[in-house]
Amino acid sequence: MQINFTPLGRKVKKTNFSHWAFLAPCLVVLVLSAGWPLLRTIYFSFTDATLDNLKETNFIGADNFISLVRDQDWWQAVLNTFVIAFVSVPMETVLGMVIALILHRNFRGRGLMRAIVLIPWTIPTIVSARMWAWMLNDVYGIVNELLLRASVIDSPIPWIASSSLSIVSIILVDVWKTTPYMALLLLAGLQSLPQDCFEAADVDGIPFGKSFARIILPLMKPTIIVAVIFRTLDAIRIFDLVYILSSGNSANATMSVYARKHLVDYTDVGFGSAAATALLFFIAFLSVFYVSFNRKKLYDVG
Amino acid sequence: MKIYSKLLTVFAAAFLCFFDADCTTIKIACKAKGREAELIEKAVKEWMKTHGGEHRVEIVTLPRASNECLALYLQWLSAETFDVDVLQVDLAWIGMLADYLHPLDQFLADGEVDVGDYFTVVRNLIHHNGKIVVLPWYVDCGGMYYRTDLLQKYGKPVPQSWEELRETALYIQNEERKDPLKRSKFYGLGFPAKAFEELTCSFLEVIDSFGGAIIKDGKVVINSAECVEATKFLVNSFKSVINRGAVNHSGEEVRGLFQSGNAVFMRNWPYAWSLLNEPTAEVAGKVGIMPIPVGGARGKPSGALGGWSLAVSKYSKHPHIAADLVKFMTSREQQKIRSAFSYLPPRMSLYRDANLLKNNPFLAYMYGPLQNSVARPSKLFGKNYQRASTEIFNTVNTIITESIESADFRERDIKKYLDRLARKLNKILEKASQQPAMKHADAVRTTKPQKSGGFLYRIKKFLGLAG
Repeated sequence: MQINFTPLGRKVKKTNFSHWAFLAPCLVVLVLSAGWPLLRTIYFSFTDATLDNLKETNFIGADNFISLVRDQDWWQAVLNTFVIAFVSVPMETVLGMVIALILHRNFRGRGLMRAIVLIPWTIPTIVSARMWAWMLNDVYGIVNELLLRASVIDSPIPWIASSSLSIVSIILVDVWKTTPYMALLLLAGLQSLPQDCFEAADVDGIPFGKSFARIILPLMKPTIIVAVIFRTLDAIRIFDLVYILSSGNSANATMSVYARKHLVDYTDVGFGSAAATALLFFIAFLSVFYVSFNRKKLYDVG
Repeated sequence: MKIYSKLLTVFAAAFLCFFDADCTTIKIACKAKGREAELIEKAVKEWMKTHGGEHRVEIVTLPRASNECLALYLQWLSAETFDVDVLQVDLAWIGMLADYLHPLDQFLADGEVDVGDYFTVVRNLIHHNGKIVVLPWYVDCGGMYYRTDLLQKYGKPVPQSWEELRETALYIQNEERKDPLKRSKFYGLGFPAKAFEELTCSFLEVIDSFGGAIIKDGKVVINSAECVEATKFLVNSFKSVINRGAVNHSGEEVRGLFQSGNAVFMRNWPYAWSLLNEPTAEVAGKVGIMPIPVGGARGKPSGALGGWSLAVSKYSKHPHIAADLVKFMTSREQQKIRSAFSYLPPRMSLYRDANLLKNNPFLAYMYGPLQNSVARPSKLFGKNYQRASTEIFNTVNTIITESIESADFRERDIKKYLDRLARKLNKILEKASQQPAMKHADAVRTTKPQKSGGFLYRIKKFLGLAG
């Protein structure tokens, strides 16, 4: 055991150094690619920067944030975002759970099925949003055509044009798109569960409903919570679907659409950054809330 | 063998150019894709030939969406190290970009460019502080497309006024809908009302055709009686001849409606002409185009002016060579070539050129709309134009949506909406006129109430931060 001859303290120091050395490139990349833009955005939110003048900016304190909270359009955007997030995520969770349970079973062609289910999630959002915009078009969209032919409706429905329906359409397309992601996360959770519980339940002849409520759900709780946190934070940033599918009216915008409009269209980098920073604040607040609220439950089971 | 020798020449030229200090590379930024890109490449090659291969040209492709191009330009230009020499500039951006553009007068020999030949609306846009800053390349103008076959079938004349148009549209719509296949999808008029720049254009031409305006003699008049009347007409048309979904339709979706044979009339840009007349299109050869018709008692035919120009960047290292390329690309000859591909020339005299008209009758159809065309007030709003335009299209989109969906929407609400819009535009205009030197001007925020005696101001003053 040669290792014993080395003084313990020195050895530990060395390892410490080497692990930092190995981490360094990754950290540098992270700081450059994520940290720097983030800090810059936060910095800009306190200035009057415009897109054509990012250098000689004036520090204007919290002015941007004050006019942000006074802007009715912003609060409309916040409301829209939360409606989309808090309606679509529970739907995705339930549907994702159903799909995960089915895919967890042993049946012929399971591997193929698992791959197929993922398709909506793998299509770039911008492409699927365009596709849905065509399908949901009121005059030549296939959705109305099918409903008309089946005599379900007698005049075309303006799916993405009506202000009340367009948010429903956006939520449905979001559910279509992200349910596979949810199913994937939950399936991974299901597969890591101890299989003997299920076998025992099977042997004892416990009906599925009961074994789901008493065994699967409690065991899956940590996975479900993590998946829901991930999805909610993701849903709050929703941009492409809204950008493509909504009519462009400020009344239908979400937070990131609002931020982009001010930052790019109005070239007001200071104000746009303030909106982006506020969005970041919402996300940070929600994640802290979620984690601290669920910490106890998370470790209860494990 | 031929191709090898060609390649060899190209390589030789490139090689020589690499070592030849006199050889300059001019970078030109344009939105060209597909067929237009070929046209530009051809023109650029010809220009290089006229200079004996002395200069090289590199084409930088811009994003498809105009507003993204503008954002990109502003970012590039503010970096000041920008090395693109020639820029493709929307005629509506001149107010926003003028500070970054090189004045062109010094490069123009006397009478080299006959400014008087440009359409008056275009001529009024190309100057900044009394100097020419862009040369117009091609123009666009909103027009009213109609189905010649359907008008003939029902014995209706081409309508001259909005009222007549709506009557005709409603009549044909009702008749065509008797066909069960068209029952639920045939409409009288296709009108883009998605909340985007295009709606500012299509709304502008409707109020202009009713004798109204956004700004008149420096004052916002968007809530005038004429504008209210025009908006009422538009709202009522949505209840009778325009599909409800149009509040989320841009020009392309509207073209889909018209091109599949499901509309009698359509408001759109000239680009649609060649697509509608492609042999595979259902309506090929059955389409006519006219100016936006006259509205009300005091109206006139109209059409919103769009279009593109070429300019030289202030940061170009070779402005005289770049200006020469701009002159060449926007020359009469080039515009003649491009006119065959629906890129309408800004020179009035070309619309009287018998040879051109023989090959391309579309030019003759567009002369009327162009002469009646109206420009967006982008120069007055300067850098805040996008903000003003957003307020306009948001308000119009909201009025239309509300009127369709809300049962308690009354016609007098239109006046209220337009009054509120006028107040917002006035605020933006005020700020814009306060900042004649545009560079590094603070952006104006309509939603931002700026009280100079406010609490925050006093804190800032205390801290010595207030100016």
